[in-house]
Amino acid sequence: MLPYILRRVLQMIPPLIGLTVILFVLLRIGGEPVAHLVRPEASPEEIALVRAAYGFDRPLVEQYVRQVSRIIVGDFGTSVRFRSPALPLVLERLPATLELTAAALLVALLVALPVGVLAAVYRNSWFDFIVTITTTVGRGMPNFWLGLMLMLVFAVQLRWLPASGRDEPLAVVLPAVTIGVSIATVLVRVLRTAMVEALGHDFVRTARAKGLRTWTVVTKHALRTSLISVVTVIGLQTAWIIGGSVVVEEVFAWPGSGRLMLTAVLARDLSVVMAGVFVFALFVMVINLLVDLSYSWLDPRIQYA
Amino acid sequence: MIRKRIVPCILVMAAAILLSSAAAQTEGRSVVLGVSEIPTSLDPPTDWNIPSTWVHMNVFDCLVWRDRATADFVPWLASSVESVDDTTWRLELREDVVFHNGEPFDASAVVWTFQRILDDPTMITHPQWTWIAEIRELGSHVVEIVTTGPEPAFMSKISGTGCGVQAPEHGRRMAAEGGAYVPVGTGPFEFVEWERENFVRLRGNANYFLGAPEIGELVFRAIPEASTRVANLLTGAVDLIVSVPAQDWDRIRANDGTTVVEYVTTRTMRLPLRISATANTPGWSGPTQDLRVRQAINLAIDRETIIDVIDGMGIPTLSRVTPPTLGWDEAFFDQVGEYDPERARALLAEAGYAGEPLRFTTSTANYKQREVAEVLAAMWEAVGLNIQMEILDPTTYREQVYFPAANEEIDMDAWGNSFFDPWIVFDADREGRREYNGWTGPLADEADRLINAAAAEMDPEARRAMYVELQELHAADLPYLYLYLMKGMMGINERLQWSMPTDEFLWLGDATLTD
Amino acid sequence: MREFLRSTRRSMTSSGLLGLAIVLTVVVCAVLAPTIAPHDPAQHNLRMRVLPPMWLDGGTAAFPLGTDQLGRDVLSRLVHSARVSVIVGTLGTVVALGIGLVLGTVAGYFGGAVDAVISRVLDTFMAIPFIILALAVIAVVGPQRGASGVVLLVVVLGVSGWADFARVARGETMAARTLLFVESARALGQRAGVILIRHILPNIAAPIIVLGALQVGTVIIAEASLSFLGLGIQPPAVTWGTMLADGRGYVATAWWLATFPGVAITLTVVGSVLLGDWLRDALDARSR
Repeated sequence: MLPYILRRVLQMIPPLIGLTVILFVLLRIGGEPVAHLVRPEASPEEIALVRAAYGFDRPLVEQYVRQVSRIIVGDFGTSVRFRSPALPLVLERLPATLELTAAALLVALLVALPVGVLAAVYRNSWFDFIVTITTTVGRGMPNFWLGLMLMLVFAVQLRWLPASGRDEPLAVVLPAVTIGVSIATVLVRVLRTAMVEALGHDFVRTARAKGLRTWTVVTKHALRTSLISVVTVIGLQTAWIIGGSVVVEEVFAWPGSGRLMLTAVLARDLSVVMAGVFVFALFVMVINLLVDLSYSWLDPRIQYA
Repeated sequence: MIRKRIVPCILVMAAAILLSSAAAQTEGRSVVLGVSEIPTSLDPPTDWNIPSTWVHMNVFDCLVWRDRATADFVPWLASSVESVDDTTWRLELREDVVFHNGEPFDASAVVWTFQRILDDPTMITHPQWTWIAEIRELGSHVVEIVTTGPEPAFMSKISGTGCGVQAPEHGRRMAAEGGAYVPVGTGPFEFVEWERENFVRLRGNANYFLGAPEIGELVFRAIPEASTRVANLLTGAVDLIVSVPAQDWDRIRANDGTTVVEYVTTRTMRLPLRISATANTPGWSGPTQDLRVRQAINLAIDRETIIDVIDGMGIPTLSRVTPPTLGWDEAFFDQVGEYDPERARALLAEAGYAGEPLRFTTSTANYKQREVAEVLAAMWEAVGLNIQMEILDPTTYREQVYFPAANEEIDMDAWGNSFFDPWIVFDADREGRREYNGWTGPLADEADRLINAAAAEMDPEARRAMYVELQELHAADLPYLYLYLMKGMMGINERLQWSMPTDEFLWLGDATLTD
Repeated sequence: MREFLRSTRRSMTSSGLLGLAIVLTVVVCAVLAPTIAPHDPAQHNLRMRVLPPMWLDGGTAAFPLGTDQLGRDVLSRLVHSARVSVIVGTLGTVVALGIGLVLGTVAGYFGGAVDAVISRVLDTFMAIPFIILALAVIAVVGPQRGASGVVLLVVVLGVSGWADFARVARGETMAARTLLFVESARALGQRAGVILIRHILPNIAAPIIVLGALQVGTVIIAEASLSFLGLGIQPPAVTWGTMLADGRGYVATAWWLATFPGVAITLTVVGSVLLGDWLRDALDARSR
């Protein structure tokens, strides 16, 4: 097990290096982030002064090498917008994003587990039919639009929940439901298919034949094996969920790293973008590692050499 | 058995704690402001965005500031301002002021604050202060400022962005230790907590020299989306919001305890028209070189309709010098100008205009700016102009059009004048700085002469006349067109008694509460 | 009833047909927009601002789905917006498919160091959230207007979305490489390019086409998201995403402005998803 984990961790290094190259090239060919550093009336001489002060006048290769050597010690440079180190900026906003992602996942599982299981057990019923239609529509719905509609109904009209921010505990509900529902539409379909297959398996049939109660069979045997596909899909969707949360964080003014990324990209705040994408990519990789590892727990038949 | 009792006990205790903390919060007389953005830095000389200065001004005081009601310049942390000669100013300081951390406010604090800006060219506001040749202590509470030349706009410039006086001991320690900047000033509110892009929390300064503010806790909360700000005002989550869109006015008025209040901003929508090529538009030549085409562009604009498009949120103007700034004139302010599409067409024909494309660049930074651009384009196309419109997001606009001054035939952007002095209006129009329009010719030369003369003219009346003359030159040669001075609408909870001052600064040191 | 539902689910033809019908409708709207739309989508009328749909009080049959903040016809704008969605959705997918197919088959066929390099690049792209990568590219180039705006979006969404295609193409190619006739073609000394195009491509086409149909929906949503954030297609060009962004300030007072474009996006994506699912089932059935 341990050698496997080590190998997987080492495998993350080349993509991370690739990442620095991609981002550096991307963000540097576009222009210089001086817009936020000087006032509107600034003269060309003033702009040149600021460029020199921030090192934007050095050769690109030199700027890249300097940047990477700093990254190795966790220094992503200074945010041109906030005039403070970039990595702590991203890290201080990460809890809000993790909170939102966790809450969204919770919503997704709370919806998807019962709905997916029931749809499989009572397949081809009216319930199953409605679930199929709903999940299909859900797949087509842009989540920021769903967010707007939820805000309209629950915050503006009914005034049950806060419209935005993160000041009150209940504020997480609407953004979490927005993201959670779009994850759930995928999970329900996957879970239903896996459950239908599992319910047809020999060991489930055997268990049933032994006279075990139906729900015990469903939950203990079929659901457990089906969870592998659910976990796999969650792993595959992590990057997608994070990406979608950027727009949802913007809609609900949720002060997470997603919104920080968005404003940083808009302001060409290279250091913050680098740090942010790094943290997100690392996050996605770690989740995928955890997903791989969880297989052995969910299905003891899978072993790692 | 005992165990069973413990659980309800814990629950009751938890409930009591929750209730008492809730009660404590209402006792704190908290006021929450819903703003579009909060500072990216709490160090005044490093962030000049208007929403940032709103926060800075509540924490820091300046030597001279504008009277909240009349907008006249008055001594603030200074007790008197005296002009010794054309280039020397002597300021006596108040002796009853202390910083939030207990440091005394004195001449050394003033010198340290401004010397820090003068010594560091990377500070955004540094160029605003280079008119100071020297600043020195004359006594524990007297400072003398020597300017590089005669400075008629001294009172305006000394209260410019970054003027907040900082605690020197604290500042030196922070510079030595590094790390996050913690602001310590003398203002009506002291800094408590800042979560980037989310909120800044301040608390009332019980020792404020103008009297402790009624507000116990002041929170600036960033809510970028206008409709979300409105929703938060309606639910009572925030007490004051700015830039309320027209479609929401009735909802706020109809809601119990909230209302909307109109105010006038300091920003004017203006359109540079390119007359000749400059550094970043090499080889440019276009129809707007011809005065008749510029006149046609101007005559095709129906300013009344434009005001309608922005829901009445503007005062039509033909100049950027607007009241109460010195030099504003009835001939230009609150005027819709001439609207004559027929003559516009005739002028285009006379100029031999044959459908050459006119590039029209603008951004979405201000209230309904995109809609205004679309309607303008339609008005110009109606008189036969071939408009190529580019509406960009604010950052892209600033980087690709504004900073490189890469605008071509027509450009549109709102410019502010929070200095309340006309020098800044024409500063970017003098020789060598006309990158936005490449204005040349005899009238431009005359403008140069007037700009230089007015900058050193110490007699206010003579200075005023020069600025009126400058506006006449603009109107004759049309290097710029002006549309309107922007108005704004704030939504306010009626428990908060406060009115928007002319400078648009959300300074709440004098606000009162009814609950 | 139960029997009917079961048969429907088994054949999937009815939902497939529905998907086809939706997609065809959108394509027809896109192609014939100037003919179908009752008004010029850019024609403003300040006296007719923010009118509700015709079935509500104050609505008029001249503007069936109401008007926006400048008095422009919402229905006409919806119809014209279909053009951008169809073009960006299709071409964005084609670019992603092209990049992914080439890199994926090359990696899968040659293996070794080539595969190692491409796979690492693939891992890199898989770990960066799609929308963040797209945002970064657009922030660099800056949003563009008119035709270059569409080209930019197509390239951005293509560059950001190729990883899935490459992953599938690589896996399928590796499997196809071991097929008997491919091995014999190699033994006969045929050139790699010929083998890839003549023997491998037909074998891996089915899953790639299915992925492509599903990807169209993803790209349409991504375009809408970027336009919503103000970084996609720039005004005066109209798209569902920019309509949504404009309507966002009116959710409480003029709900139709943000609702109809959302419905249009949802329907279009559902159509492409249904079509994709149906294609998969049909191709699966054939391969078995």
